[in-house]
Amino acid sequence: MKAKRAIIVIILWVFFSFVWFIQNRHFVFQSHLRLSFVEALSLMNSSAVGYSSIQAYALFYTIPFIVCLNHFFLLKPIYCIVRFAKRRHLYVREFIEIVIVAIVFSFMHTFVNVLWTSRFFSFEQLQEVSFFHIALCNGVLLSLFYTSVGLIYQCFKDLTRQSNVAFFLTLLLVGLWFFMEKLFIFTSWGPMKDLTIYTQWFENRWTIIEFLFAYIRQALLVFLLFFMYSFLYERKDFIS
Amino acid sequence: MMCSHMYRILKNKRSWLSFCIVLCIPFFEIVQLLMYQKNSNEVFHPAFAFFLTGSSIGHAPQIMLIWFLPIYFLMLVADDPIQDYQTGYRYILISKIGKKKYVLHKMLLSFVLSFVTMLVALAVNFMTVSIIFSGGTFTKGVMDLNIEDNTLFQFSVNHPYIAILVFSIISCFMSGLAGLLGSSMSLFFLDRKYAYAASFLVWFLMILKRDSIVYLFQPFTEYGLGVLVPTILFAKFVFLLIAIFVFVYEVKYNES
Repeated sequence: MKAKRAIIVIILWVFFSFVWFIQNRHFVFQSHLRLSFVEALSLMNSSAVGYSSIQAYALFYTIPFIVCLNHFFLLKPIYCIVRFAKRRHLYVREFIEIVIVAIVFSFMHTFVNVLWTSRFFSFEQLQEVSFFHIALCNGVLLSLFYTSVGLIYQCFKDLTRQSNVAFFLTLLLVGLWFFMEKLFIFTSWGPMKDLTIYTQWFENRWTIIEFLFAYIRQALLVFLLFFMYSFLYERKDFIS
Repeated sequence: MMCSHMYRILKNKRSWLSFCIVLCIPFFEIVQLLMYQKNSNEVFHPAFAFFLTGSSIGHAPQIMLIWFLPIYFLMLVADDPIQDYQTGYRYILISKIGKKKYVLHKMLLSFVLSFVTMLVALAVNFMTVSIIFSGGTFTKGVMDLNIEDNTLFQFSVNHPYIAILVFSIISCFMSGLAGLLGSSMSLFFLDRKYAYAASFLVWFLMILKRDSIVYLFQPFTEYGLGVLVPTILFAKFVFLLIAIFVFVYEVKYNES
């Protein structure tokens, strides 16, 4: 299992690196664009399109995350349920597994971004604009977002009892929600509007309070899904 | 075997769900276009209201359908070899008709059904837009553009219906290849977890690369034959290479 996890992490690194270079090749290889350092960094981490955009979080990375979630831990056999005094304990364990995968996934995304950005820009310049801090903040928020996605996937999986249908429905839900927010919900809050930390930071739009609210909202969403899924889990039929 | 496979797909609710989704997604485009033209007197030209043209803002329906095509077709037909493996039916079929025919049937049916599903979805969409946007002339200014060095664009603008027909056939062919990719991965891995992941990864890399396969689905774009021909040839080469590799491996080397 350790080898499998190491392979997953390496594949994630390769995948994120590929996406990073495909999305940012214009900014790092084409000097004729004549962008200032902050402009280039802001465009590379834009919330509209690119490696750290909401579109990428919702449409590019949802499938790799679910694949990662399916492979990172061993499948639980039916007898696993008797190892725990209460079903709730098993549920908490499953939740922790989702959180771990979300953290690994989000921080691999952040690590690749930080690694390749610092390869093409000087460390001092990046430190000056607090890029490393903001990347870390984004990583934490992303972990919360993918924890929600993982919980939705598990809900569908237990409802349909088919991982491929759950995979499909989660993808459809996240994709449709992204387009709903993009095309119809302009002004009011939506869960994906919080995932714009880089843009808000580089354009000085958010204060610390707004950053905090973004975390609180995402944490509340995870909390809500945790409770919703717990009702489902209490009634889960493990044998059939 | 083909008949029994078809019968199984027709009786499968999951396949029907997938088929209905592929059929319904283009309708969101029509809704968006109707909302777009609600406050004006202009009516979209049917060729420009067609799903593949992508006249709506954000291209949401196109992204939801084209980016995840192998997933829809895996659900519809292509993950059937995995079910055969799980139930043990695979061995009965192989002992009856041989491995070569078994693998060929699975791949062929995946290609054909994916092709036909896309064809039906596009045909239904075209018929609907022809009725709803009948007599419309609004093209969002595309007809007025003049890109002289792009013969494909000039031809498309002069003959919009032929252009959407050609792109529809290419799209159906690419859908067939997406189905073929899904069935190849299913035959190779015999596990949904790996088959879905591998199919998505290959398809997605083809979408993300510089000359994306998405260009092959959209008429009236700035990309000329110089971009589209190498893209389709490369995509065909990659998908067929995977299918041939899986076929040779399954028939010649895999003894399980």
